[in-house]
Amino acid sequence: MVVRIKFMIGQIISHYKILEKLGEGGMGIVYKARDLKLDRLVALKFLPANLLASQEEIARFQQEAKALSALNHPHIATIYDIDSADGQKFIVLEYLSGGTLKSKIRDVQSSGKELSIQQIVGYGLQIAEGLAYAHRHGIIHRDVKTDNMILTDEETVKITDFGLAKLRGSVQLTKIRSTVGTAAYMSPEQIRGEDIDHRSDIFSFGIVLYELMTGHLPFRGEHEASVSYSIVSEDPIPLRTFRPQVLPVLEKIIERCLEKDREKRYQDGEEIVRDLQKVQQELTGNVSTVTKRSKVPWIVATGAIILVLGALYILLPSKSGSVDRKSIAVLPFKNLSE
Amino acid sequence: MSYGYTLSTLVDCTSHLRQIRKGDLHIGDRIIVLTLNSVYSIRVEGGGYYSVSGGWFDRKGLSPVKTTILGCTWGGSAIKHDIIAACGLRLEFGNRLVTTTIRKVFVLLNGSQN
Repeated sequence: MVVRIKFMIGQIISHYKILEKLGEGGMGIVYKARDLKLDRLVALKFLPANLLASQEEIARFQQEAKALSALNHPHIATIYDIDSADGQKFIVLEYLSGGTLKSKIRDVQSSGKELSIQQIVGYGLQIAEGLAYAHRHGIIHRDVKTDNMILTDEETVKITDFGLAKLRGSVQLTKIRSTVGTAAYMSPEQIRGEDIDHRSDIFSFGIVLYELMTGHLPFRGEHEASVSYSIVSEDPIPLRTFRPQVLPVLEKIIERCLEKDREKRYQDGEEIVRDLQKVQQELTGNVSTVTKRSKVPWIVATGAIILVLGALYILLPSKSGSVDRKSIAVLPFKNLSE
Repeated sequence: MSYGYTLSTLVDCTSHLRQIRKGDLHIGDRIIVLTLNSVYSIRVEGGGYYSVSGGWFDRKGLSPVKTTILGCTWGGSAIKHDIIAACGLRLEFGNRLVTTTIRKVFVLLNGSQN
């Protein structure tokens, strides 16, 4: 395989120039490539020969790929093409540059820093808008987590469904799903195996926001079962344990997303968007309102007021003296004793 | 990992789906779903329940079974929950059974079955 990868890098397959290897799994190898016709970056997924051993499997793969391609909006195609070279079939996928939000959090943490409130609100707002858009169209993501968020070079967050990419090219079978989602980000109703609605995504979004704020997950355990127990039965670890100086309004938004009872959560993504927009407006447009809520600037402000009052107290008698001062008039006088 | 499908892309493609919406069906309506591997017959029971036979349920000797329908997926986690079936997607039942890709869908309205 090493020889093949070395051979592939720099090669031109069809009209795609292979740039680097992105990943490899049971479903094939994925390369980053440049579409030389359209001058854009794409991802090429080469499928292993054993997955397409028979003509029937090739036909199935083509049918499925075409079906998915046909479903897409003509201007936002995610499967750009299905092609073959040297007898190998490959699909051409949308390429998303940038790392995941998870890796961004890890990088920030390892440098001993934390994401700024402006950054967190910005990312949160984009994710909430994306989810609200999907929910309006009857789509529930069911696996909202920082690993499923791509942060592009332009600081744009894209919510992805990597489960889809993993399945492309596999031989299709009817199957019973064990679970959908990732234990640490699941809603209580999702863990209980109940029918879920969009509010399950809102719970998971709360965990994402919490993670952005603190770099930690709100529900923890040594193994999957204990994490699940914690989500269903325990309160989240207080946000201030990890980040003492937090905007109360942001803390409230996260707490409301993480309500165990879905009736008590935000009922739709639009509502979260509105609340986050208010926070963003405070941060950008009305700084004084925000600083008032932060403890340290408040102490500084109080100190300043005390100093001013003290100064006034000292200056006040001399100032007011000019009003009440007793004056002595030196008038022309006569000596009457003589 | 630097490739995949964005959620907004999935949303954008829903307008191009040939889909059967849950809200457009009434009690007694029947939907025939042809997947890559099987044929399913779904009868609307009301209250969010459906009587399903065919395919996997036949193979397991369970037909007909009363269950819910969660919606349709693209093969990943994202699900369109307000539809019963759409060509190109996979049907997910309340028991978490996910079918192979749907090829064709027929709807027999309650009054038109006799």
